[in-house]
Amino acid sequence: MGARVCVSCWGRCAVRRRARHSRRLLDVAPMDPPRPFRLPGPAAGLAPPARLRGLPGRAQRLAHPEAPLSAMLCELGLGERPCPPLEAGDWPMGVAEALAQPSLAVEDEVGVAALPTRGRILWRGRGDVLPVPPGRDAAVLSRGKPSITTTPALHLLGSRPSRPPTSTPVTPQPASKPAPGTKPVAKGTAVSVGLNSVKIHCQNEAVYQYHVTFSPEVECRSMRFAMLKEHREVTGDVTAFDGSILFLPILLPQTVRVKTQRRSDGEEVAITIQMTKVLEPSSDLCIPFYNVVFRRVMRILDLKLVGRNFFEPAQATIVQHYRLQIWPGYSVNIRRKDGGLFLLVNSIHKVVRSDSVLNFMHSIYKQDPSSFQDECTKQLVGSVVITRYNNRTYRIDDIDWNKTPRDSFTLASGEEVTFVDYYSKTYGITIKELDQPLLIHRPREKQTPDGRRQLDMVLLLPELTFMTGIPEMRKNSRMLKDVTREMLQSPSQHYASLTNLLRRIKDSADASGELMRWGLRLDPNIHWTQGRVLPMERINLRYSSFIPNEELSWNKELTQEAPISAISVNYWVLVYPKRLQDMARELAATMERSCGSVGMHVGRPAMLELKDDRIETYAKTIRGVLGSEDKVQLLLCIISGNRDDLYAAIKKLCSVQSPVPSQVINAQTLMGPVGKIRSVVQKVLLQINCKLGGELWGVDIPLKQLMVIGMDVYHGHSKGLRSVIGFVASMNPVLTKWYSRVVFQMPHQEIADSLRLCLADALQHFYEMNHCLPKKVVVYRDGVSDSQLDTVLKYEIPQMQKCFETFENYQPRMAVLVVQKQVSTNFYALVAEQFVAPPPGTVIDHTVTSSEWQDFFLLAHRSRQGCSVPTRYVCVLNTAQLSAEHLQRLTFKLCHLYWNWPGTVRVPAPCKYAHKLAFLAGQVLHHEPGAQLRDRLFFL
Amino acid sequence: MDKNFQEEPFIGIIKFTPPLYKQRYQFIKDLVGKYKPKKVADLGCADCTLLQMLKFCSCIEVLTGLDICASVMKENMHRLSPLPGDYLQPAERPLTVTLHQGSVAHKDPCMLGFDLVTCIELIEHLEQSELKKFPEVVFGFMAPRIVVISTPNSEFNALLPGKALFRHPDHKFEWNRAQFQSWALETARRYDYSVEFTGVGHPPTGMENVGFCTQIGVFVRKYPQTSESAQSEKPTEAVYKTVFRAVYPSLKDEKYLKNAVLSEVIFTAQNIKRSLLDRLMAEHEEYNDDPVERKFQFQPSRNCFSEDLGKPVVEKSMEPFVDGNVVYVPLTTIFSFPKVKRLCGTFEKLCKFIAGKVTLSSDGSAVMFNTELENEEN
Repeated sequence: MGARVCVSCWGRCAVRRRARHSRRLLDVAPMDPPRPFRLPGPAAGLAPPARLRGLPGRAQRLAHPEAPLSAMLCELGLGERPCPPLEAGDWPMGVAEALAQPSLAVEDEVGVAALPTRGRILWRGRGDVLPVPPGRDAAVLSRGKPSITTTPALHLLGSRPSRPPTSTPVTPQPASKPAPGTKPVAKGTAVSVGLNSVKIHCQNEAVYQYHVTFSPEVECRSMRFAMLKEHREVTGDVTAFDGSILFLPILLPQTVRVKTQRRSDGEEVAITIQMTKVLEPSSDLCIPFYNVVFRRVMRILDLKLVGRNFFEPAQATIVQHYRLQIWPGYSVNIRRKDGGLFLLVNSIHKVVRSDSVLNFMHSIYKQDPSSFQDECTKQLVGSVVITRYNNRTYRIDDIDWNKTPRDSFTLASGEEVTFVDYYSKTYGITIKELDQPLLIHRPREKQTPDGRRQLDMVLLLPELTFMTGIPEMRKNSRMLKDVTREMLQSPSQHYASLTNLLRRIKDSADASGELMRWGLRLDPNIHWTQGRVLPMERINLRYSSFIPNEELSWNKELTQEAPISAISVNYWVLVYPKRLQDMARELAATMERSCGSVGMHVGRPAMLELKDDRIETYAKTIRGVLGSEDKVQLLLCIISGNRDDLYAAIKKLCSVQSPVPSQVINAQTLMGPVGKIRSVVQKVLLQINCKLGGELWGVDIPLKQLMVIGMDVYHGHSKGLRSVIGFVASMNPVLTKWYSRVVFQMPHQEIADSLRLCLADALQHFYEMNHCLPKKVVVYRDGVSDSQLDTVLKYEIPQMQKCFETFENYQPRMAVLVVQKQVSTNFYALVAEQFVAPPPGTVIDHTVTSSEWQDFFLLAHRSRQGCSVPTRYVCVLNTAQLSAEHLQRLTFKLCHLYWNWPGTVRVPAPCKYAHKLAFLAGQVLHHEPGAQLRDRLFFL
Repeated sequence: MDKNFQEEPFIGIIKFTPPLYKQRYQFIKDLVGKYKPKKVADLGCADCTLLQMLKFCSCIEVLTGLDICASVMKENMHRLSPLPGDYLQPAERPLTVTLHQGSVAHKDPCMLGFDLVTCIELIEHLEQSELKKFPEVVFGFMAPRIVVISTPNSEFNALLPGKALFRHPDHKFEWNRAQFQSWALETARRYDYSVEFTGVGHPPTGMENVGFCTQIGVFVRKYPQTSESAQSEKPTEAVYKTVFRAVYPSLKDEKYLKNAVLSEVIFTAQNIKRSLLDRLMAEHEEYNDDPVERKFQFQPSRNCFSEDLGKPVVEKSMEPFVDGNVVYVPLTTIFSFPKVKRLCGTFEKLCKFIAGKVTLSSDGSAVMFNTELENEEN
């Protein structure tokens, strides 16, 4: 989902630039805040060049709210930690009763859905045959082939040769999905949650599917369309036809045979229309053409299609100062969920430059003529442009400096024409600048429906194209702030724009009529359903434990009390350039002073002063000290300003060549008032503690002999760069020790190939630490789109299972959850007539969940601004006997454990760690970090 | 209805390149290029292909389509809507595109006052009764300056194999050249038009005697434009149903004009400010830095005026100046730039448009920039 909708140009730029930004802050920065608000505006659907699958909230670093210090010390749990170890199944929440009582409210929701058979089979089917995905088989079943209940599962298992189905421990599922809506409501406060989904009521009884044959055969698809169209009096005006399959909202009396005349030669062609299926109106087969119908509705409302989404340029907000326009718009999608058909609608924005690309190039030229071409390439390649003359968006892949509009190209007719003549003749546009270079777009390899090859290359004129997204983001953070402010929507504004769209559809007879042709009626309001807020988690420090405040933030406690374990830093080196000597001394002193408050002991460093701040000087000095001293625990470098190359050089030395934990501090963050510096130093100290293997805080983990694994993939943006998998596994019962691995793999290969190796290594290490192997393994896999779920199931999971065989007699139970940051889903809560963000810990596991997979939505973090975007978890495998509720609670617990932020984050900590690791290795190191560092969070 | 697909692409022997329907549309486009009509109507516009081409002709301000069948118009009508790009740089000319559902046998006042009315492959689809009323409606009532009528030339049919009686099942008749010309001449005579005959789709060599595949009559009104009063006497009852209407963003619309002016003013002022600061810095550093290098750097930024704005006529009193941290760029300086001048017309309008949108000096004569703020930004 994320990959698909994700990133408008704006988002794309944002992702890339912010990614860079984040790296600069990486070391010094304060703890990562949870994603504070959503950045609307995903659109064009083009993959960002530097897309990091697991990138945290896209807006994450736009604002850096200081961690709120408002946490009140709870009266609870000073003193000993109440942490009774419990086995799975006896989670301290009385699951049994909960399972027994279905929620009435929820049941009502589903009564409407009129899908009695579907969802029920899903979960239950899974219960019967364990290591099989809930999805596919269930979908087949519901289409009326009950005889194959178990066979596909066995077949699937059979395809894993090393693990014959007979050896699978077939155990009953304690928490099977009984039926949509009758799922257990477990402990936790019920909360009414609004979603950015609109229920679609199907008025028609059925949709009828027909097979259309032409005799003699008609090859040309458009000809078939035309021939069938001539028989509207038979089929009616409302049709959906793809060339051979025809959907109608009406039942034809019997097989229809009509005759038509082929225009070309007058030959008679017989058309036979034969019914093949009666479909529920909410059938998956109908969804594609329902979406086509809905696009028509949007067009009737005069919304403009740009990329995949619809915008209203006439309602633009114009940011004159930056020559930008912000277009409001919507992303719309009809999907089938557990609770029936829904329109998923999101209010989004698109940022477009009101200048042509040519003008933009001029302004680059004015700034510095000498680096003009390089700078243009840097700023333009990868951005998405829209054209003046048609309704298309193109990603710029290159710039052809040798071509001009006076060059020619070949039309489809074979005619040669210059760009100048072409635009003049076709669009009446006179090209003003005849010496401009041309922009190159290379379409992805894709076959058109007719089987024709697409063009290899599209050349565009800078004068006729406009950039979308935010330019020069790197330099001008004020622009970013201004633009973001314009786009920011509070939950109530977001809600208002959704209801506005619904009202417009309702008020337009044409628009609602268009839907009604297929018997579709939109609910007048967004969908409200019952969610539940998971119980608060207790945060455990060394001597105390407490329930955090409602904001779920514990910065105050963290900086006042001792962490679970602290590493004494006695042998460490501080490297700084001569002109920052005062700052370096001050830093060392402040660290010594402040370390007590965070429970650490930091000794005097060996001060290494550099004569200048060139990279070579740093590198030589660091190499020297690390080569001669093997006792060094930590290397701390002060660098002036944001210097990516210097940062990379230091990190490469300290992570790959002579592995030692390292911390780089940008001198700018150490300037300012004393109070600010103290808090920066405190954060740095905490981070150093993590990097050296210390533990900051934990939560109660009742599951015994558990290993939690987080995985994420980083894709390099330039071609040929290898993808990097970050793999992080827990090593102790309280999940505060992590073991990490990095694997490089071939370009754009999403799915982890070398998993087996990583897992075997992690298990080995676990054994060494615990003298036993974990009995349960829970994997959180980030960066997988819906379409790739099957691949995870068929490819990654077998790899991991194969790995278990390398250990004697070892068959751990396993759960695999795919983590999807659902950029297009929103949760609202209504408090005192006001739309607000629901509390962190809000879960929804029915109605809007997938009808194919076991999934749930969890909002773990508190969003400070904007709307609340939950994370979706898809459980693709569960042999661990973990009920849905257990998985939810475990997930929520893990969202508390990211040590760079004293609060909850959007995704489980192991995912976030894996993400950071993959990013560092892929973007900076380009090599696997040293083996000595694998048992600590050196990448934080 | 499907008149576009008559001949191409399935003709075995005769194949026109470009396809004949494109040649007909090109003929109209050329005619528009020649006469520069402001108001154009296409009767029997079907799926609006011709209208889609004509909307790019920059002389046209009103573009109207009429067809008897609403559903065929609706299929592609969204293509006549403004494009997202049209909102980024609104055109100077206004453009309104309208589609009506109705018959050419009926009069509707919305069709009055046109410069060009095209009837491409229309008349052969008309029933006898409709054809009879057609000249009175088009030439008598609408009375545009130019009427273009095209229709198949039945003499050419011999060269088209596999055809039944007519080229399209919906054709009610197909005329030879003599039949069409006598009808056209008679019509022209009765309504005081002159008519010239031409066509598209040349016959193959050796068969020139059959004439063009499509015959075309171009009618030009001989009397001057009927006055407004004369038109208002005509029946005003609307019988057509409006199916679609799109008003393009243009600088004639104050909302877009205001934005365009504001954007241009801010852009111009920023440029002036930058070059002023550059110059000051260059002068300042000439004393203590390498002057050659500074001078060199300064050069391009001054050029920016001439590059994309046209050289302004700058008088002494209009010079921008710096006072402390504030740069003042007089409005008169900004107004002296041709592009700004052309957009606003008068200085008063300039002041009106930017009122409240940019920071002005206390007397309202200059745009103010705080250089300190600017530095913070970078």
